Amino acid sequence: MDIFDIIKERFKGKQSLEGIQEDFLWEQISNELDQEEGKAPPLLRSKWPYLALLILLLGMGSLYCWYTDIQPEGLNPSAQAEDSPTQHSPKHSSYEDSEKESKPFTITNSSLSKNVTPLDNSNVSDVPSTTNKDVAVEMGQQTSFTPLSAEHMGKPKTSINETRNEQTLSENANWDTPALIQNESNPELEQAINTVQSPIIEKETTAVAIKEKPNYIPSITQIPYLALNNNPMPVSIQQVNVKTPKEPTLKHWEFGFHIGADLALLKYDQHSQIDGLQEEIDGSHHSELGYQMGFKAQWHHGDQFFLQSGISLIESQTEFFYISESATTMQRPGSSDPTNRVPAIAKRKVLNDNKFRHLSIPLEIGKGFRLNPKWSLGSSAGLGLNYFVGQKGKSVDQDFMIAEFSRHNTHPTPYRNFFLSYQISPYVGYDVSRNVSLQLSPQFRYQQHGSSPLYGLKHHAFGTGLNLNIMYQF
Amino acid sequence: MIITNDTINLCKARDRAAQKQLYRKMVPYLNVVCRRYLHDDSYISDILQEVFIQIFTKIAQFDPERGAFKNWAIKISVNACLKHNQKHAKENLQELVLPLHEKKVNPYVLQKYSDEDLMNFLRQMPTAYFQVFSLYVIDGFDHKEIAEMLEINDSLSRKRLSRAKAWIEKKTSVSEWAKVSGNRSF
Repeated sequence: MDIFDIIKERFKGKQSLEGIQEDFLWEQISNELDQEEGKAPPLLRSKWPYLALLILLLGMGSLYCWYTDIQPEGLNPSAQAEDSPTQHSPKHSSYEDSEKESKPFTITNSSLSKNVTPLDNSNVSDVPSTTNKDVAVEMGQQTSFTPLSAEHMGKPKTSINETRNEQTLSENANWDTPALIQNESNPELEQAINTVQSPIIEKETTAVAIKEKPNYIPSITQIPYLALNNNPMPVSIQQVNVKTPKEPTLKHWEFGFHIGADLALLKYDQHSQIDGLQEEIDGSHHSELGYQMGFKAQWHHGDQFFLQSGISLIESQTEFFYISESATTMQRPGSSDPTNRVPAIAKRKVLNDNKFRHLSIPLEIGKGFRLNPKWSLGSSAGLGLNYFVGQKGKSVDQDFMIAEFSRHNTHPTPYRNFFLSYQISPYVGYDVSRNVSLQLSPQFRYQQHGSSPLYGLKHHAFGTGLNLNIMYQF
Repeated sequence: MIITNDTINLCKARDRAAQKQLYRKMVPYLNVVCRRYLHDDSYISDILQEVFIQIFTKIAQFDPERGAFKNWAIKISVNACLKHNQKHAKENLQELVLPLHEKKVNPYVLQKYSDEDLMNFLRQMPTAYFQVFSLYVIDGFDHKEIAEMLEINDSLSRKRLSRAKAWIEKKTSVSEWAKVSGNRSF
């Protein structure tokens, strides 16, 4: 008789009620069946339909924000000019009058000159810039040098005096054209600081991770068998030291923090109040390295899937040139008389930094698998809810003052307070110990900024990051 | 143990009397099955409760043309036990490399044990081998069914069965017995 037959004969169809209380167990089962029948359908009891509904709502909210313009009262140039002319300051009124009469300050190659110059200062000043780092001067002989008419010279163009912005500009200005002279004595030719753009920087992120940690069992002592009956079966006791992957716990939490670099590539989609600004901004800026750091929590369900959330502080940075244009005078070409001067427009390129901070709260779903007891691979993807914290660089505000935009300011900012991002984060994980793992996680995200309160500016950004995650499994 | 189609159909209609009848017929058998696969017998009541809840809530999925109800119930029981073991895993699989057919089997050794002792003896083998051994030899599943239940492939199921047999042969060989017992021999 085969050994298998012996064992099969012993146990096949064996029945026993040993160890259970049959009636009590049935009562338990019956009660639970009653509860099960009173519950919602299995589909609604699962968390996945609710997660799908949440993602759908967030997506719809994102689309709504994207296609909804914010048009704050008083920021529409044409509406303000027509409907509330009395709100204009005297300095702006005189400037507008001069524009209506002769339009002497038309500046080519400047998108702002088309709209901002003839309008009030509030629109001009709206354009944010940032800290001046370097200054170069361009004298546009063909495009930016426009003699002014006598009547125009006789009228003040602006009345902005002694602002911090002017100080910054004058300190940094490098008037490298001999014929171009700053107008210090003639108050009628103040600098018309028409500016430009501002890079708005972005944001955000989070990384991901999954893991199944190895389980290091120091030793397993097999239970010595048999003190049974009168014929104990001798079985050797084995001391087995094994190092095998930990069998994944179906549900568990992992917590950790991450830090890394961030790079955001900006793309401006639309500007509702200044024509041509979008193209000018897009062509003038380039991204620089920022950083991101924060905490994250993962809830693992099963041996592969997990949900991830947390909070991250992300600072993105953009470096860009903006062209500052100002009115001045220069010696009339061909004349030897130093008093024979004509109006002129000076253009300067100013290098700026613009740092944009925001908090990001991601909600991601991920999947991972283990390469061996130490290494793992995986990826997660999902949405991020982002909250604008502040702009670290400087900008020109509505009053031509250098200003920092933050959530604490009372006036509107050129950045939307909330925006969404879509992100995916693959990772490579290495288990340092039973509970601690390191993960290197690149991140790719798409940020969608809706219309901002100050400019109605829409833009989006492609962000990349590289994070080092340290996770602890509970 | 005969489970009629009428009983099954009534259970599908959530007839509580039929469910109780099915429970009383199946619980002694599933009790033995679950005890065989559970690492810790103290969870037996919890596991049986979970098994019967699954049976009664999923019984609509049972197709009599695809197999006997008993086998379907055993699959649910085994899966529940394996999941429970995994969740409360404190033991680890160990690769025990044994030379195949090294010793002759002495069936007499096994025949002298009681059922409980024999089961305790068998459960000393590596868990992975014991699961395949039990499913194949005692419960009568084929390698394809075992592979599906344990999420392994057919060849690994065959290999584990072969190693389980080698483990039993090694532990019951005459030479091993004589080595330990000294002056006793068969």
